[in-house]
Amino acid sequence: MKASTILWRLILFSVLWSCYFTGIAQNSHTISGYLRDATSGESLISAPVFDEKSGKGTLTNSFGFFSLSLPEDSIILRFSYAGFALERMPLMLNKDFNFNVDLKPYSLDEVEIVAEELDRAVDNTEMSAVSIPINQIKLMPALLGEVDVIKAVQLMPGVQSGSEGSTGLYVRGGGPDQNLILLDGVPLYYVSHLGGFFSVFNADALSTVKLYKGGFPARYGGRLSSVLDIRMKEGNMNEFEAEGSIGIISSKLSVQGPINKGKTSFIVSGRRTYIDLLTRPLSRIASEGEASVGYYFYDLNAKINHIFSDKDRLYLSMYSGDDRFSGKGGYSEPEYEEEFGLSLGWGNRVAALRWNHVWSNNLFSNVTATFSRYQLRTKADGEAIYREPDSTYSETFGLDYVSRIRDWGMKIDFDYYPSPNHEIKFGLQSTYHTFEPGTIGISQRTSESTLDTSIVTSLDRSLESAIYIEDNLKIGRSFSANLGVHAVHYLLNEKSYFSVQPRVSARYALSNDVSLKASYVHMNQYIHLLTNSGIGLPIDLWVPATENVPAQFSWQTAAGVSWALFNDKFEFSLEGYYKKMDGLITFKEGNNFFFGGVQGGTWEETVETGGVGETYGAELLLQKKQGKTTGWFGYTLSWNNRQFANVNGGLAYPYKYDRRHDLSLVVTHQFSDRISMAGTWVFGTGNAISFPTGGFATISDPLGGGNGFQGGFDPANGPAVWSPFRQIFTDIGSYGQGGQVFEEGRNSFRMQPYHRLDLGVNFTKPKKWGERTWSIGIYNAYSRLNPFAYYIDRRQIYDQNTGTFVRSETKLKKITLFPIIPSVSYQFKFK
Amino acid sequence: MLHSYINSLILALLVVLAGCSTDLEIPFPKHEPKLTLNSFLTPGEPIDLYLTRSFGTLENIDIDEILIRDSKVELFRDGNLIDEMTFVDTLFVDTVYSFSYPLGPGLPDTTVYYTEERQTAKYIPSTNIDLPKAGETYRFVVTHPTYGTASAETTLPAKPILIDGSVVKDSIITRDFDDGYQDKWTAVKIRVDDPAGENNFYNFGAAVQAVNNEFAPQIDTFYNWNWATTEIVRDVDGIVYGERGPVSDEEIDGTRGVLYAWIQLPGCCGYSTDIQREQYYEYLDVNVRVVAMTEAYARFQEKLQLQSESRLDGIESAFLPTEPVVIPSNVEGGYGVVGSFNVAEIKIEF
Repeated sequence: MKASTILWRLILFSVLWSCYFTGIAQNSHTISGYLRDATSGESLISAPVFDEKSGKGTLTNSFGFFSLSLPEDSIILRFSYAGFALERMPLMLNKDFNFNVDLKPYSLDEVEIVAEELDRAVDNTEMSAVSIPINQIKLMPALLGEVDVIKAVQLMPGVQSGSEGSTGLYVRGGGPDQNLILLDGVPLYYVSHLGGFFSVFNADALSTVKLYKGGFPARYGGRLSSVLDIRMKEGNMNEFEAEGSIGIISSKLSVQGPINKGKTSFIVSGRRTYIDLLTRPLSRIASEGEASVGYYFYDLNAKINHIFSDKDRLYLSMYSGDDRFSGKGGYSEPEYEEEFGLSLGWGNRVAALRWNHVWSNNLFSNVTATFSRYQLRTKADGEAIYREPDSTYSETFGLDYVSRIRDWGMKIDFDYYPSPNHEIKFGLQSTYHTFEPGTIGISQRTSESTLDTSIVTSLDRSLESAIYIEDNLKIGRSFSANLGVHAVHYLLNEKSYFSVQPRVSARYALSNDVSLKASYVHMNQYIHLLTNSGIGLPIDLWVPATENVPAQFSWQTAAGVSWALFNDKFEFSLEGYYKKMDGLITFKEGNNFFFGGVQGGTWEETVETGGVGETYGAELLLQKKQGKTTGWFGYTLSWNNRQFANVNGGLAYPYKYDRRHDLSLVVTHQFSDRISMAGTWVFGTGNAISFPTGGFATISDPLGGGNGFQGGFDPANGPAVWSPFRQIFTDIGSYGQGGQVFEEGRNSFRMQPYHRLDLGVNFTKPKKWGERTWSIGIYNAYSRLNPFAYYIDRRQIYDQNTGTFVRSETKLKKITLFPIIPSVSYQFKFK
Repeated sequence: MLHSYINSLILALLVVLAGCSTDLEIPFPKHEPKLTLNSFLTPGEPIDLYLTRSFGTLENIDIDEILIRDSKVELFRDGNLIDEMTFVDTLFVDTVYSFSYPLGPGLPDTTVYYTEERQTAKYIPSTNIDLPKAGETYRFVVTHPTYGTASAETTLPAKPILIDGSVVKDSIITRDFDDGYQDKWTAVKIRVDDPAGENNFYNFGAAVQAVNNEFAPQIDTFYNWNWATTEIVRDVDGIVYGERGPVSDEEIDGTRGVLYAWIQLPGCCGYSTDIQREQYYEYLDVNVRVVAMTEAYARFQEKLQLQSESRLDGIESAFLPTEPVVIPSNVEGGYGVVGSFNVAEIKIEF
């Protein structure tokens, strides 16, 4: 069947589905509007809105919009949101209503009063999804005091962090490329700073963070393992405010406020490190003034939104972030002078323009135009000046290397609320990708010649389009389900690929406090990431799925139970999952990102394709969301294997981040309005790595090497005369010719377990101008020397007196990056 | 090259970070030593077997410690026991390199030999057995009181039947490297009559004769059985040197096929100056050796070389590990390889 035919059928199905629900909703009235923060005007996302009498309700959408259709009757509407006071609203529902509701933030003393009014996972059809409040993230202790959203997400069960200090995400056995990370709906490709130790997300600019590990709603697609949906703040509609912090390595500042009160607001938030302020003078001193090097990163978030009317609203948001490493130097003599400079920069640019329109009280739409670009750029230039008695001439050279991926996207999403028992989302999206694995520009000018050339490697363009529909339906008081389908058309080099991905999540309530959940989803991914460093290097390369390296796909099923305990003070969930992935890639034997040339050719020739991944396990999460003490305990038991026809003899082997046990404990306690304390403890099974356990001797090849004759032979002497001698090689070290033995296969060696305790305390004090907070933290409080990497260290021992060789010494060593690290930061908030 | 440059920059950053790290000794899995057999047989040459034991990664050994001198080594030909081999350990002088140069017009060439004193430690037949022939199957069975039993066999391939050969027209190319290095290559085409039933691999060796000079080139190979549709790759980026291993006869098994070999030509250019680059040689002919080798031999050497080239050591390996290369072995109960080969030679005029 043609792809276009299937698409048209899906569209027709969507229309008929919508008409059906329009028909059944004739005898009810609809209440709709926006739910907002009373002080700032910020939209409140995923907030429950329901009728106390009938128990029927809904959640606000991603823009704070709600729509609830109920039969004509007297009702009591309840609006609630974590951190805000409950709003109850009696209403005689004899017509349609459209109004906005503003919730007031509560103070600490009111916490217990509103405790039971929060959104409960036990009521939600979604499964394998977690939200972490930004305020809670800000309280957590962090490496060098840099609060990090990604590292907070890593503390959730089912999510692993990869290497020490890394911001990599490994969700339910997936790879770091299998996460759809959205900032205001726009995909980000590289979310790390400083080799992965910090993420690009500045918590001061963010509003909500939600992670899906499975049970993906149909509106999401394009990655196999997770969706991390991060939303930026909209900007305070009512008053100006500024907040910021001064830390050990960076400072932040956010300013927001109304441009036209109640109509237009903005937020601008920036962060910059000042590592370069130290490294530049130090490097100058070290090089006696001949060179200086510096490194810094920055993030800049900005957003402006304007309310045209109750029906129309426009958002323009952008993000720009870069890492910059640069150096320059030179020296001068009477006859000769030289200057050179180099820079290495990488970062994202993201922009989104969104238009919300309320077509009717039960139909909401959002049109989005997006742009996303990740770029790595290296520049080097230099000039040499030669001075002779009667003339002076110079030579210059320049090198410019660019590798980038750019996306332009358009999408339209509809939220349709035909009845209290149905919430339908449907939409279309299309993204045009361009992949530039590497473009090199070289220029050289001498007194005799000029060279100016560009070498462009393959430029791939692809168009990825999708259509989706999902219905969040309720049958009776006990059963609810989210049924959906996501269909994708992918076009690359005039070849079309098509996939239909069913999505199902279901919930059955055993009682008011206990519900059973299950889900089954298919996902496709038309993009690959070439990486095996595991440490988030910026040169990791995104490449498209091609005919030779096909798309990845997966199916995942999960089942579990949610339980609200102790009058909703605690939430407990237990989930088991099984995920099968196909179309995975890995580097061929002997390759890594840099050494692909060993087997040569294009990137397609350096990877093994058609890999299968199998991952399964169980996740336990016990959360306390309310009260002065909040936090969670998470535990994951999992297995995670890969299998490729040409790797490890075709046998399945553990994935590098196969982690049998993964445990996290997060506790925050608010002693008073002024003092809070937080602690996190994590434990994880060591990473699986490959290490040669032994070696064996080889002999010199009579043919002179693996690929042909090396060294000479004399054709005049006729046929080969083979030497009677075969040299025996035993050197299994660098570039030796003995063989290494991997007895148990790939990734059979386990690093030591990882565990760490972080502590933090915050002292807040009101000031005339606002408030200030001193945050003191200790990363790795008991200074556990966790392994970052292992390596074999070989040394030749010589007699110090005679200089003669005594013996070789071979040891296995481990690298630990971060022992105990204290931090302090000063935060301020102007009002 | 550029990636290496970027690599260096990133690595410099990482090493700065790692500079704060602590190195610790930790326990390492124990390796159980096994017998390692190494032998390459070819028709008309005496049989020998190099026998050692494997060793742990952290074990600091020298050859004397791993040589197996006291093992029982049985040699079978086509299933029949023909010898119990004996260990020999002798010193001899071996030529490691030689070259010839003319003394002047009308004078004979002079050859210079570089030699080394070498120790050989291997098992050889204890009786006067016939030298091996193509088609024969030899099997070693090694029994040792400590390291158990290991065995391996190989069947000597037939001598390649070379029908004819020619230099591919207009195939001479010059490669320019970023650092100023240059080299020159050409492709040769050889038609072969591949014997049916043998699961062979082909490899090449070549020697180019140029006016007054002889060089031993490095070569690379590529293979295509259908000459009529083959395009000789002229684009520098389209050629991968020294990375393609022996080619399988799978597609031409039992038929006539065509093999191509890329051969490095002498006279160009290295890091020479522009003036020297003009002094190209006149090529006369090339002697191409076509080697038929067993699959076990080809696979073993291919992976051994790949492992050797890709292996990182020290702290660099911690940050940028390459994917491990597993070396296949046809030795049951041990490591190493027992392989065989057969060589034919053809002279091709330029």
